[in-house]
Amino acid sequence: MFDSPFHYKYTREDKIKISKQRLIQTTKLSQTKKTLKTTDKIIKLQKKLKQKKFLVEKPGEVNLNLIGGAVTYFVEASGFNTVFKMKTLNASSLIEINCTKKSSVNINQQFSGFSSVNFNVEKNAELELNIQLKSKQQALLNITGVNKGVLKIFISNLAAGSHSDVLFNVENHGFASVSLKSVVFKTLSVKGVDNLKGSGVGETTIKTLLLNASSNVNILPSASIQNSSQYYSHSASVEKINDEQLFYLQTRTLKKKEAEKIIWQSFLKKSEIK
Amino acid sequence: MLELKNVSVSIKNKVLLENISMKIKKGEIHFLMGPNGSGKSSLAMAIAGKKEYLLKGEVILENEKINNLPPDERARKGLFIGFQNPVEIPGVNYETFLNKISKKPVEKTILKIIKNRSLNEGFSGGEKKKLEIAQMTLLNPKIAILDEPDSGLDVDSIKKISTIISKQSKNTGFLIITHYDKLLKFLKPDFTHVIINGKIKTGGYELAKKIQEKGFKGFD
Amino acid sequence: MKIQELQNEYDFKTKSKPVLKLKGLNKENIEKISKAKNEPDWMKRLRLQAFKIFKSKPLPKWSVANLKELNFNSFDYYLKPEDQPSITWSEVPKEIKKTFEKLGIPQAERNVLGGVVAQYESESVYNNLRKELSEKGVIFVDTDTAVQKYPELIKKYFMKCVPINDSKFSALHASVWSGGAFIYVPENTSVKLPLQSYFRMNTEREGQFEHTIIIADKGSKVHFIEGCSAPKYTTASLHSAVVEIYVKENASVRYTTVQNWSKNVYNLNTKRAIVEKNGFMEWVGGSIGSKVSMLYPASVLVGENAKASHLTITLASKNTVKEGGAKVIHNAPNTSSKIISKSISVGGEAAYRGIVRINKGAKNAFSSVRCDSLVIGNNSKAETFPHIEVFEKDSTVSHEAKIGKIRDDELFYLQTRGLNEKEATSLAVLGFLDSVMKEIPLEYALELNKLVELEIQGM
Repeated sequence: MFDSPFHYKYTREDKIKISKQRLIQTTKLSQTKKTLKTTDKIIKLQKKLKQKKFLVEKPGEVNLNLIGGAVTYFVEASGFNTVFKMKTLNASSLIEINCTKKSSVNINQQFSGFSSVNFNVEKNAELELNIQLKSKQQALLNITGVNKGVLKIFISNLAAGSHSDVLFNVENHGFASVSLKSVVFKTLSVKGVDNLKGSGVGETTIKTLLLNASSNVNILPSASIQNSSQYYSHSASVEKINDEQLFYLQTRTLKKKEAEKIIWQSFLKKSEIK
Repeated sequence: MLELKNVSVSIKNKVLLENISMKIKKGEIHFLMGPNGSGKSSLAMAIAGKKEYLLKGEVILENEKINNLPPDERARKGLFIGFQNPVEIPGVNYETFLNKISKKPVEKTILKIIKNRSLNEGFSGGEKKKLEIAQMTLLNPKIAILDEPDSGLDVDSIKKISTIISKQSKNTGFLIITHYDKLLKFLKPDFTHVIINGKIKTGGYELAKKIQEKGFKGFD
Repeated sequence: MKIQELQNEYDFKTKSKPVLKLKGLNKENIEKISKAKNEPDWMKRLRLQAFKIFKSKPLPKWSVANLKELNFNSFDYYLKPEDQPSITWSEVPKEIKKTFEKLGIPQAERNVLGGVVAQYESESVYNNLRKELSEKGVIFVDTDTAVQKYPELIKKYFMKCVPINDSKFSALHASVWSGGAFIYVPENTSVKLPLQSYFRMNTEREGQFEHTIIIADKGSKVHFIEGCSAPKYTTASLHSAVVEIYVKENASVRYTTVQNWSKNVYNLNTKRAIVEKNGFMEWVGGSIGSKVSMLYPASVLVGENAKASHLTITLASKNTVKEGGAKVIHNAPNTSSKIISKSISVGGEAAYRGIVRINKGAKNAFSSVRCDSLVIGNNSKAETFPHIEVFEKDSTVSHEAKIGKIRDDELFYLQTRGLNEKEATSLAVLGFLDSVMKEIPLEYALELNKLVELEIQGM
């Protein structure tokens, strides 16, 4: 019998508390392919504002280099084929995405800290969420949301640090596919709760590769179906470096560490969603 | 030069080969033949340093004993292995990979084939084999052990790689594992080694011709 | 259907059987149980110590099942299983009578299964089995007898695989245990016929707190079957048995359980095996009945090359909560495990809860888990909680699960071949169960199939 089903106890809910008295500044971006460098402005504004809202009205690609402390970024993905690329999220960042059309959001987390991505995908909308975690220390990622349309989440997690945690909680009324790939240098915990309601179809794939003698991973991809009109499949695997591939690269003069790096980098690249 | 002195190869306590001795010098082409399952590939893998194989005896490359070196060091010392079934490593860009292993620029014809493709992924058997040969020319090894470079290739391709091998033999000593007589049409070996029942017998070009005509009977 | 009986030996059998029935769980009653069994002092002390531990542990909260209704003081704790009261045929619940009819079970068997008749014997069959086993040196007695006859073995193995403080229920069990089978198979001995503790016409009704120990010495082989697929009515509503299995070097043990308890039963058994070098443990289970089940057979692979295979079928019918799963812990290199769990919810709630843990040092360990859940009809629920914990980088673990309804295209195909929806559904369900069903002994499998069909048709 188990005494505690999940060994690492974090109360992440404590960490994110959005004050309701924060000011909201809405910045309208109507140009396509504009790189918005908000560095200077944000550092000054940071002290005043704790929320930023970006509304894209026309289709296109917007590159946002967002650097900042405890900031909440609201993203209204209402344009057709809207692509957001966000880089360098910092500690206690929160992104809220409301998706009404086909959109893609890329998030690149570079620093240690806790990031939370909340999404709401409307019926007939499609959201593709690409998340890359590169933190060297604590990388904590919490993905929660309601999906009524089509949701695709790719998480590529170079969990280099200790105690990297990924949590995902999807309330699914449409089609949701979640793919997480992680190379574990030290410790990784993945906890997923897929709550299928309505008539959703979901699939979750979790793949992890352990690198060092001291690496360890703890995965709990739990799922719950509450009625009989749903279908859900998930798979999780813990793999090791393929010896055949390692040997082949070594016979091509590559040193062991270098060959291993090539192998795990290639492991992270491909997403599993068809 | 690659020298094998009284080498035996075993895997999981089972002895596959015993008393294997040979010398391969720069410029020489050696054929390694034998019935299916005789241990030819095992010998190649053991020399390359695959850890599943236990090798006893001496393997000397360029006057240095390499028995205890890891596979990458053997490769850096000038040992090249052309695999029978090159493993696929999806996600590794072929061009980037080639640039990593050799400073020599990649030939245009090869570039065309590998552009935007992953290491060995999605190629046909024959294409993979030809790319192994391409890698060999890039690495310019002292010794090249090729495991069935001709299997899966049509006659024209065999002719092409034979030309490349001949040209390369100016700098390289070759040990070629082969089954097929087609290769004999284009490459004339200086030495032929036959492995049967775990033991080796060495002869010259005539031995290869004899096997081609009469098979492996009468070699016990 | 083969009918085999086993009459357990009691050294202290007397002509007038004492009927000991104790209500309530307290120190006095536990002492009475121990005294009536004439147990050595150390066993009494173990019971009392376990009782202390039981009191100190809280009820587990992590399960989907609601255990708050369990009132330990309201149960009756019996000395011997056959002391449970016999009831009259009219008291046997209607659904059970109907099922007997549909399964074509003969009247005499119905009486026993319904709890009406206490005994049935067939000397000749029993004697032949006994002779063969004693010739081979196999010990097969009930656990109470083993305490008297083989105290050294009991001391060595009793509650060592499942320690008394393992959980609240193992502690409960250790304090009030009674009955069960004790099996010792000597080195290099292979027992060809499966040993069965419980046959349909058994003299002994399944005890609530049976303790079964199987010791398979080096190189030996044995198959033990427990339970019965036909519905079993019992007045005892809490079952907290413990099964401890010791698979020694190069030995191989298969433990098959088929359970179809009536819907008033809480089935909270603990089953665990310790597998040594080159050993092989197979758990095969079909869990059909009971109101609440929490069953997680465990295999601890302590020796190199040890292997475990877990195959289970779980059926959650209306108003039942069935939690099932597997626990495998890899503690040595080159160990491998395979878990296949198939559950079906037909109006109830089925949950898979399992853990695969690869400890550091278990190089080259390999584990594969497949847990599929089929959800049929309204109000059916399914969940899965597969824990994967890996501390050794040179290992491979893979897990796959599919939960949901039967694929529409499958049903449609079957219907285009003339089957109506219910027929198509039961055929699809049997196909779903096939990979595990084929490992269950034929006579049980046939009945299990019929039962599943009945459940679906009854919807």
